Amino acid sequence: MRHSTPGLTLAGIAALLLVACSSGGGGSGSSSSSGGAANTPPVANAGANQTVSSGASVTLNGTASSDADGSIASFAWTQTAGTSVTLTNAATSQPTFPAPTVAAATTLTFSLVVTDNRGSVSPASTVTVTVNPSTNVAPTANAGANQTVTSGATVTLNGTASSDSDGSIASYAWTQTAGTAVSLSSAAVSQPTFTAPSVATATTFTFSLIVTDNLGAASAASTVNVTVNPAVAGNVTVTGAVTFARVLFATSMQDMNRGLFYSAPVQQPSRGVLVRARNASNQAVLASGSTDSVGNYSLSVPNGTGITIEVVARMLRDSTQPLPRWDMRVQNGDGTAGDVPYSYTDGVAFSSSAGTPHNIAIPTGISAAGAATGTRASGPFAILDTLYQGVQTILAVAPNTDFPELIVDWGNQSLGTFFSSGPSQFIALLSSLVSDTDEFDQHVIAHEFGHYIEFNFSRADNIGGPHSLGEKLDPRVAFGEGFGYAFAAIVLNSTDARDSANNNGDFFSTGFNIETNPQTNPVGAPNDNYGCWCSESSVFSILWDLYDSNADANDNVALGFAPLWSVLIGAQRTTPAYTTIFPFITALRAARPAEAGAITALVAAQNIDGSDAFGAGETHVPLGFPSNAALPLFTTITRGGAPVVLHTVDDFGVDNKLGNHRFLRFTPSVSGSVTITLATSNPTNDPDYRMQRAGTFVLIEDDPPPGPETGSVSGTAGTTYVLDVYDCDNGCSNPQGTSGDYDLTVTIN
Amino acid sequence: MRTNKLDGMIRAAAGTALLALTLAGCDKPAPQAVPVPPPEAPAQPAPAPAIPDAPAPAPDAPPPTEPSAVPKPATSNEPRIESMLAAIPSTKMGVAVDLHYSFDGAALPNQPVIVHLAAVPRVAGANMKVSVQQAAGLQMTAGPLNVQKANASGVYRQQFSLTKLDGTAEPLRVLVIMEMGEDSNFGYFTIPLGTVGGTNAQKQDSVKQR
Repeated sequence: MRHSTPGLTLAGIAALLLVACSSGGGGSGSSSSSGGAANTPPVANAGANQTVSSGASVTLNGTASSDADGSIASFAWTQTAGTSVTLTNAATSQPTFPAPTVAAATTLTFSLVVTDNRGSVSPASTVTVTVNPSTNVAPTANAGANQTVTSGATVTLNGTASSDSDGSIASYAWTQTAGTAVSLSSAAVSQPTFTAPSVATATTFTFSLIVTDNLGAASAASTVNVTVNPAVAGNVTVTGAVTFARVLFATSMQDMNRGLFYSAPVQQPSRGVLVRARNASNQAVLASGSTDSVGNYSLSVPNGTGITIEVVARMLRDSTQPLPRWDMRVQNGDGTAGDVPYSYTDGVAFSSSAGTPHNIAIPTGISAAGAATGTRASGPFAILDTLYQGVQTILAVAPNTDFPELIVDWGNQSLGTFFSSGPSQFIALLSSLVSDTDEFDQHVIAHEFGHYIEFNFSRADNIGGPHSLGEKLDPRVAFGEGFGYAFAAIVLNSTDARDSANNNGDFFSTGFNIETNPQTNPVGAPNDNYGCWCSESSVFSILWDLYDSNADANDNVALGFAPLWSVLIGAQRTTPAYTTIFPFITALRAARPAEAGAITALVAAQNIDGSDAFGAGETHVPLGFPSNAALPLFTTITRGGAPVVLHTVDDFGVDNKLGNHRFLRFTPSVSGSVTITLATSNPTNDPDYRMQRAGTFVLIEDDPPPGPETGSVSGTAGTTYVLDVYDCDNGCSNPQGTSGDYDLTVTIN
Repeated sequence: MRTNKLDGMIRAAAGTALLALTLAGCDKPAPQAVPVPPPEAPAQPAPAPAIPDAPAPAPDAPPPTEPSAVPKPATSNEPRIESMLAAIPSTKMGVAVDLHYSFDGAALPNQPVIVHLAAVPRVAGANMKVSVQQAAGLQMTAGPLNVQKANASGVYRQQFSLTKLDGTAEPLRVLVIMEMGEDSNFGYFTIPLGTVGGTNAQKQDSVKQR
């Protein structure tokens, strides 16, 4: 502060000094003046120190740099210590570099200087990046599902589900280990083919696959059996390829709104779908089978017969076949009225003979302008192919999975897009071209399939209800919805979660990036979308970061899907708490002690620091939210103890938002009947509660008003029970009274 | 009893929808063509201004910086939120906005009626758009409502004239889009015609979604 200001008073001088002292800029930065006003130097912030492994992509973070009286005009990063690296975009707030290969832990130091819009330069800020030697994880080979074919069929082996959690697959090596030797098209590709040889009786051929990753580590062998049945005398094998037309999202060059681009559909293989050969004269089914992993089919039919080929929107591997098994189909209706799957035939009748393929290309039935021109034939097969990808994701980590029957209801229903868990399980998808249709919205479909997966193989305490980005939700909802979107990203290997619709003829889409972490710091975070154990955005970004191999500022862990799956079907399924982010992270830390620190850092960046499955010790609540309506996540209650009073609010809405439902945990010391009583301070007087033991409801009290609610159940000593207590005006989906701040009083005797 | 009966509600609603189905005895083809807006739809009216409900600014408050978020109390002919009905959201991950509506009378064939809409964001957002969808049998004067900066719990109103051209008009459908930073969501809402005014007691259940 050396410029003079004519006529400055003593008070004015004092004020300037105070400004200078509080700016934090010290005296090392230069300053300039404009129009007589003093310029406060900017403050550089090079971000938090990081620890990464060799080969990781490192992003430096200078976005917290600031200028009290202007803006940051430029960033200048330099490396001041450690093995030299090349920064990409060194003049931006977030340059990147690949962590070098090191033999021992090595520290790299970087300096950041920023310049403000008036030319003042900040003092330097430094950050260190500790690079640890890479601990390469060996890849996992997956030789695909077992197959049953007929002599003469073209068989495709499928190793595409092989994976490497911290790198990529560099090579494939197939060998035959049982059966008469066959000739593979290539032993070094992911999907070799061979012709099923002639056999007298059903014969099994076994193949082994070993994959090698980009750092040279080899996998354990994975095997697959191909059972070849003898051809029927007088029969020939009819073959062909089935494709369906998929409509893709427009690129920004084609449509700034990125709606579906109906004028350029692409044909894609229809994988795993049921194919039938019908007698052209009487429609009798002569043979049926499924397309393989590249959409090819082969059917054994009588030679010289007039046939048609029908493709059915159904993936079926039934109980006559060894595991894995599934039965998934797309139809108009949820199955309660005897609905049958959609099917497609090109109507071409031909005489069966070997050697001439008959390919089927299923069209969209939609014009370039987005109007239906007839049967929207490819829709069911587009839906089914997304499910196929989901099935393959699970088979990669659990090859012998038995998937429960699943129906996709796409047709007349207009309720919405959702998963229903029973009594028959179905996914409802919207189908209106004039408003919202979802057959080509792969993230939407895979998200709902994620709910099906969570419900059947893990556990879903998710209470459902409306939800959206940025909302602070019941933590059970936040986990369920967050898992759905993370799972979709894993299945599709895409973090661009996009949903299309039609606005009065304008095709558009909205979406979000799964990998984009909500803001770490709630203060000043835009749009309320900051990290929370109650945010689906936090959950899906955490799960994705745990899975993916790309490091970012808070993500230095790359586990792949297998460890996440193990937790989902293990501790998360049996947790005595509710299925929130807490039991998942707690179990994952225990299962992966070497990465526990990185996992803790990842969730801490989302304002999550609870230490056990019940979220004990959690300290974060959303900005401005009453702490006593959120924490502790679970309050311990004892039989015969003092009444517990829990606060419930509607600050973020009703039904399924944070603070609508409160949780208790109860572990009786002796077995016997326990009586739970719940009262509310709400004059409407409609308190309700639900009691669970490891996911199973043992007591539900949700009678109409007036309260209090009282119920009894037999408790087992040493078993933990959890209670979800709520005032119906805050916690029901259809509140009749007035939501607000109410106290719930719980006693157990 | 007012509980969260997810499956029951979904099954009941789906079952109702199924009653309308004509069942075929064999595998069925995919949906046939569905109605689409005529290629030469009437030109859209100019965007209607946002009229948020908000307390008047303090006398010494700085002037508002967002042109679409000018605080303005509700005018006397605008219904109170508490007296309006909740539009039914599509069961799907949607936009964090509640949409309320009311009619200034019965929606009778060939008689214009004023429709009041009020969009209430549950979180702050940007570029919120409320678009009433054109539909066969409905004649409307509504243009899109655009709000540059939408505040959580702000009330953004729109009113327009609606005429049912016959007795079998489809329900009114309203699309709401909102951005949150680089992210965005949309949601479709349904407003049944033939419902006049409304109280909270008339609200319909929303279907649970997962």
